[in-house]
Amino acid sequence: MIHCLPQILTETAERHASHPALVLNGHSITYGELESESNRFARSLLHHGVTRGDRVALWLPKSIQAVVAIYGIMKAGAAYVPIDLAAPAARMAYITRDCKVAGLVTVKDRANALDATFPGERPIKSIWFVDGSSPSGPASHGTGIGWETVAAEPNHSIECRAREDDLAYILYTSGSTGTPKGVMLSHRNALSFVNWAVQTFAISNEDRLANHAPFHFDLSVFDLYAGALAGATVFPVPTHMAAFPAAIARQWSAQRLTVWYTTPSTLVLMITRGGLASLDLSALRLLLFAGEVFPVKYLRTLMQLAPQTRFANLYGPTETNVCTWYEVSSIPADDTPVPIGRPCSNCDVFILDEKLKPVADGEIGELWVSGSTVMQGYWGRPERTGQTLKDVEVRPGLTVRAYNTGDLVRKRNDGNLEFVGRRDHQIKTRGYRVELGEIESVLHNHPAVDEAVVLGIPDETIGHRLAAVIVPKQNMRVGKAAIQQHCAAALPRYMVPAVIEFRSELPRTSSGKVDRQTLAGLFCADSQLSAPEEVWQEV
Amino acid sequence: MARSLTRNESDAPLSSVETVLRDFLMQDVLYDKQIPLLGPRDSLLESELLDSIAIMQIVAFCEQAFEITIPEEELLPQNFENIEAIGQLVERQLAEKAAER
Repeated sequence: MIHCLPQILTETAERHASHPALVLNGHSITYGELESESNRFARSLLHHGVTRGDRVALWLPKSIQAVVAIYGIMKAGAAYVPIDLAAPAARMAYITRDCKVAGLVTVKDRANALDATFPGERPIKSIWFVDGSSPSGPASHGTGIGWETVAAEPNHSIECRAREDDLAYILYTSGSTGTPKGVMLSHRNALSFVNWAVQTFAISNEDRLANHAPFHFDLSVFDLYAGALAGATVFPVPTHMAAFPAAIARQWSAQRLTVWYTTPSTLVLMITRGGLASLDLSALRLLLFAGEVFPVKYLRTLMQLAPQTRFANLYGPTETNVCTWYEVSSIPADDTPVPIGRPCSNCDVFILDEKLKPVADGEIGELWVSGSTVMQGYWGRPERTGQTLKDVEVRPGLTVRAYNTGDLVRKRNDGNLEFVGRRDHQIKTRGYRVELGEIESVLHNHPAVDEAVVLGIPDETIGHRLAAVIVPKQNMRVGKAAIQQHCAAALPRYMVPAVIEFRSELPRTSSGKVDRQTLAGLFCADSQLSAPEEVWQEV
Repeated sequence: MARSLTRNESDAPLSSVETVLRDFLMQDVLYDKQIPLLGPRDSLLESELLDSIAIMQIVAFCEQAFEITIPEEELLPQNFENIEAIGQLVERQLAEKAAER
């Protein structure tokens, strides 16, 4: 009986040892090889003192070695913490300190950055370099371990140290108070979703899955583990390829991929710039999308281009994995948005009002989720965890532990849920969830900024684009580029506002609060006037 | 923020277009990445230093700085692999623009 994620690999390696598990940049690895390579890496971790319950960070490009490392970390009983390579080194430093990683897996060309980020200190005990021997460097690198040392470890099977309620991974998402927060998911959480997905979409070892999402984005959980459970072949797309929709589209068509799971932003780019109309998409049997609202007109185009394909909208914040889904069989002529559907069979959902009482059918309320996919909490933040994960009496006499998504939803007459919006300042951009407060807090750290407000301006292709309105301190001058650089030194690029506007004061409501609606209205009215640079940044 | 802009002596000489590109990359795109000065053939893509937003920034910069238009069919990974490749892409568009006159 499988109770933790790496056992999926071990079982599949027994059944399909010579079947390709991953194909990337012309290289491939079979399930048998992935199993034995990850056994070696698990042993190397154990030899260097990593034990059950530890955290090990991944700071390396998407690669076969990255997947070997992921399985090895989990086999050693630790949780993996994937970090966005394109984000500033300061964010990596924050995350590795926040969850006190016991080790870090990286590549040689990041050694300088590690040294510059941790001058004169050794916050990370052991650092593995997957692309050869360990560079000889300053002590701040910790103990450097080259891949040749890993290759010398025995590769026979190793007992998986993890148990079902141990953490499998921690994914950091934007936090409203200025720093990212780590969502803790256990093996049971992930397995519950993976089992549901393989069953619901009948994933088999004949399937060829695209893996578009980076490993720090939870869509990758489906690609890696549903793929492995079914013994399918996974085709990871290197992260930088996201800028080249035509190249991705051609590759996916040539690889005859059968399953694509990605964000609507990516799909819109592929529809508008990928030249899909001239490609053979006949192999594609299943297209899953998640992370944001899919503009109906583009979804309709895609459904016409791939008439044989099954389409489904999967919904769920990182904290719940996927909790509701909707199979799109046709699109109504009136462009009604695609609903988020009904709960998955392993989840229960409740629509509650502010007093945590169920709303009447058809009324708007906040969506709460309970079930085996719901996270364990936020790393090191019991208070924040307690604000969103609560015991709620959902029916008289029935109290369940449930997570408040903060998403406002309404149950339609046909029983499907529809997403209405949010009350707080969380938005989606390019499929990523962003707390506007986190960006505002970074802006407030700039010495010349007196007040700052960040707004999400609705955008058809990327969900929202970010605009900042800044009131500089008296007698201080600051420009757009300086503000953007300041943000980029602390935030991932998708969180850097594309539009920066300076004002001498902010509009206020009668109660004295910043009037965000008035500000947002100004940007919407201005949107046709964007400079060419901003238009590019939107795509 | 400290920027590493010291010249690497082992670098091959850069064309004028390449120099403009390198300065832009080091100062406006990669300044937070704590990397040594880029050579013309240092890989930009495999290292995942650039995400899609950064690549769009480079395209916008080239179009503005060199007064060219980069057509969609040129938005291919091989044209952004390193400074030399981006330089060649820019030179091609400059030549096309000159031929049209």
